[in-house]
Amino acid sequence: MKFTIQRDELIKGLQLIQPIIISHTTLPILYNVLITAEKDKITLFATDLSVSMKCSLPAKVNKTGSSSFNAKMLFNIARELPQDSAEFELEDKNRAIIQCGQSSYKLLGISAEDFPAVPPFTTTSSFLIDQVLLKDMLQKTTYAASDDESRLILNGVLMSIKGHKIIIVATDGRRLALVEKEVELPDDQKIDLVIPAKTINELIKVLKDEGQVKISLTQNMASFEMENCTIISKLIEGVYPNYQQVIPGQCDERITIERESLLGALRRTAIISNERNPSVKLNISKNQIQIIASNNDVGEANEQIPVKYSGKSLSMTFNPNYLMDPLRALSSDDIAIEFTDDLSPAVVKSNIPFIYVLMPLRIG
Amino acid sequence: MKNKIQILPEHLYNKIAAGEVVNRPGSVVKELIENSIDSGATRICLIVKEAGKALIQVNDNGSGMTEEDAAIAFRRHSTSKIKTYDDLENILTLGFRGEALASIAAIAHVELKTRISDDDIGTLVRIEGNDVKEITKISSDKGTSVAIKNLFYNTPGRRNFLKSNQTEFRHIYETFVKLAVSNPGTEFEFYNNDDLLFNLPKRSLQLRIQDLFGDDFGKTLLNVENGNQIINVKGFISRPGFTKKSKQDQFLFLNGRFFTNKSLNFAVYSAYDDLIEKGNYPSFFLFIHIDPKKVDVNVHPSKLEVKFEDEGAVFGFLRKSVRDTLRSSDLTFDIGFGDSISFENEPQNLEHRGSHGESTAGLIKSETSDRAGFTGGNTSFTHGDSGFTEGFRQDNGGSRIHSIFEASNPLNDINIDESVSPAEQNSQSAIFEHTKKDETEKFNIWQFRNKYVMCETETGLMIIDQHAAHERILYEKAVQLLNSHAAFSQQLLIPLNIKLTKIDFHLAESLKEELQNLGFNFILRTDSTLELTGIPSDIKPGDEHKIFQELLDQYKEYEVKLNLEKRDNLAKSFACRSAVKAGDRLLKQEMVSLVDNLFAAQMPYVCPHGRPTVIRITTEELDKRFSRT
Ligand SMILES: Nc1ncnc2c1ncn2[C@@H]1O[C@H](COP(=O)(O)OP(=O)(O)OP(=O)(O)O)[C@@H](O)[C@H]1O
Ligand SMILES: [Mg+2]
Repeated sequence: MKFTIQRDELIKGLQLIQPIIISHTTLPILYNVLITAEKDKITLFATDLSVSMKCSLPAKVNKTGSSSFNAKMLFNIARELPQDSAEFELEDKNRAIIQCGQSSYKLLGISAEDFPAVPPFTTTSSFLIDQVLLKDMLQKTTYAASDDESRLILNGVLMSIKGHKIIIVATDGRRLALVEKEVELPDDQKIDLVIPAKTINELIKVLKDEGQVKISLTQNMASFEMENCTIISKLIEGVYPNYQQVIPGQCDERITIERESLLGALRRTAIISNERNPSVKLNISKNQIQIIASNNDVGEANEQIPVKYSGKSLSMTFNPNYLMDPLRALSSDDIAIEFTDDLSPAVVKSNIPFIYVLMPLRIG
Repeated sequence: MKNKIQILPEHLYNKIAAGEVVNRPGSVVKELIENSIDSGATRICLIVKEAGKALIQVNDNGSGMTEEDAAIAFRRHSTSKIKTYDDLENILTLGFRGEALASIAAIAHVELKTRISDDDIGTLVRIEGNDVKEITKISSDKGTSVAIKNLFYNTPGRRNFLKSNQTEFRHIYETFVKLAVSNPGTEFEFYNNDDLLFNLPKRSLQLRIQDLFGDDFGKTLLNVENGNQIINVKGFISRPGFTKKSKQDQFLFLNGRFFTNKSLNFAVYSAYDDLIEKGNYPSFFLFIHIDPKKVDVNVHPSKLEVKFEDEGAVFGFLRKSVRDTLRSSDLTFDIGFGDSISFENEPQNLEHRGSHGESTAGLIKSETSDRAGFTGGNTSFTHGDSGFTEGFRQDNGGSRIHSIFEASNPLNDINIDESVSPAEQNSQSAIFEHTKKDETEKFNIWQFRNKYVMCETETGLMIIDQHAAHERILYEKAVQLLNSHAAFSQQLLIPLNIKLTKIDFHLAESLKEELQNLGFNFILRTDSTLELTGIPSDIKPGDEHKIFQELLDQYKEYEVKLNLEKRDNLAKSFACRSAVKAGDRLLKQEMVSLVDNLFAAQMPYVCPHGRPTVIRITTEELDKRFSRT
């Protein structure tokens, strides 16, 4: 294997695959990235055995071949290379020489044969979606997924495809975010898949503002193919909770409010709130929302936001972070909040269609 | 002869009455030393042979008696201490009944030598069983010397009831200790079978306690002082963590007189509350002073019991005084190197030690040397005198920690392993409220063995047990929640079903209200399934299930082991299960937050089970070790 590559390309590629590399493992080869030189490109491949990522980078290949090297080390080297292009040559199975201007490195690797192979992937179905659309949908929902390993299914994001509709849902059992879009799908597919949040977070990073992503599925895996990059992930098996059941059909009251001003008010009051156990109280009354945070050890913060409202007065308490999450993820000017009483879920809506259901804090 | 009732001859009467006042050698010692104290003596010498069976002698340098008084002193109801009923209401002396010497004289051979300072020549009185055998002039020192021989010689019943020398000596010893403690201003000597056991100089109370119980024991005590016009209390109590498995070193004194009162002992004990593990008891030396009119000390001839006009008030006062001391003291343990501190110290009592030696002298020696063993090492425990505590006590604001960690230092971060993986960071980050990063930067704080948090303070190095400390914080929080109904419970969108064993299910049912106060809302379903609908809002997502189950398990364990009251058990269980464990890696902000929250707690120095949370090595101690002083 021998190739010449632009330093910046190498950095970009290694940066992308970096999050896949796990920090603690009993299988040291997983610290490595597999480099394969083909015709006029090289590919980087990394895996943690449940998520894998493949990136192609343009390169001038003199001799094909492959080997694996410590990803972190390689990344650190790439960042410090003194010149724009570097030559990479494999001396034997697992020793490479990197030459860049006056500097050269001898790098020990592990031979490609020892690197875990991509599991065989026999596509059962596949479809195309706009990258920008998928990215937007994922960004509006993924934060609501759980990182609690004891409820594995909630660690994933549900992607539900029905006819011409694609619905993405994430919940951690305390709040739930859902977004829905009409898409052009060739045939009438009906698919539910639960993708690990780690995969989604990687995906969000590589999705671009143009082009399409090809999603292919097998029994328990999905691949997301983009121009120079492919992510292959195990799916989370199991039945995703019936999300329709937890979305209240009808709430008693509704307030429309400017998203930015609500977010700002929450941000300012939350400063006071106990960091470890945050809470804010929303007092809703005629044409006004009052937001109060108080903390015995610190003091109190108070905000008033004028709104158009003539429904019943009531108070609800929330974890401010949970309330701010969707406001940060949305981009519309106005949002609506629907609610019934202080112990029933509140619903944040925007016209995308986007729905966010949040359970309040109960006191005493 | 039809009439049967006769007035008993005085001799016989005295013998009967003697039984109430004098029932063993120890009571003779008590009466004699009390007389010496009443006589204004500044030096008292006690000499005992064969546990008092052969000889009890007390010499004092008090007022002494005239020949006339000396002759009459042995008559029943002869006293110089009260004259009228009014005096009886205002007793400030230890004796007042005028029967001790009469009682002793009725059942022993007594030899009294006495001289008042105005006379040049003293008086000798010899009595055997109430019969005056001799009254002569002799030359003697100023003061009084009473020697008792052949105790119970004429009451074989009594004599046969006496216990082994060990036991009888223990009573004498305890009597001596009580009197010596309550009269630190008096010099005492105590000879047993010609061995000098104690030679106690005139002292402060604390030093007297140290003389009697060993230096380090004395140093583990906290000073109590509280009072108003009606009642006041002074003295010393055990520092939490230095309690004992027995109640033997519990001393209450009323107006200078030792007395026993279970209820008041309990008042002191209960003030320790959660600072003491069940089965342990504090030691205490508490001197209550109260207007003599408000108490009746004449309940029993032995004068060991007292009746209060309002015992409830005394109970409350005592408990509050002890509690205030505990809450306001710096309970940090200062240690030096080479210490072998055993926190649950239990000097065994003499009876257990019977096999160690036959003679009582041997016995008491092993007792004293054992106390000395307790005092071995060079532990130094400070009392509430540290600048560090004062620093944060005065500063109730949020910046508490600044005053603790004022010193900025070049060694910052020296031992902090920064290679915490993101995963580990995550798992810990929900534990404490995070102090802002830049604020924490300047504290020299690091974790040792993932178990102890070490940090620099103004006065030295503080070592905190992370689990115990966090437990304390959470315990106080839980107690507060249980009482305030102010828990924030995050309601769940998707309830969690927990399958419980039948026992746990019933336990959860019986604790439903309390668990709700802590923030656990649930519905009991059929089939031992519990549906969690709300959880304490600060529990890390994902842990709710585990914490709930562990909480129940811990509750059951404590119920068996500690027999705690329901709420207390729940609070302790909650604290124990949710606290960081030994072995958990903490981030720097978490450590700072732990310290900050710990010292914001009401009782930062011990965990809810009475174990210490913090110990300290002072800079002086280090300097000393490196020979820098
Ligand atoms: N060591 C002593 N020095 C001077 N006077 C003494 C001494 N011991 C006894 N007395 C005198 O003898 C009297 C009788 O003593 P005794 O102990 O019998 O009675 P008490 O001390 O007055 O009352 P109680 O029976 O309550 O002890 C005392 O009141 C005191 O005046
Ligand atoms: Mg007397």
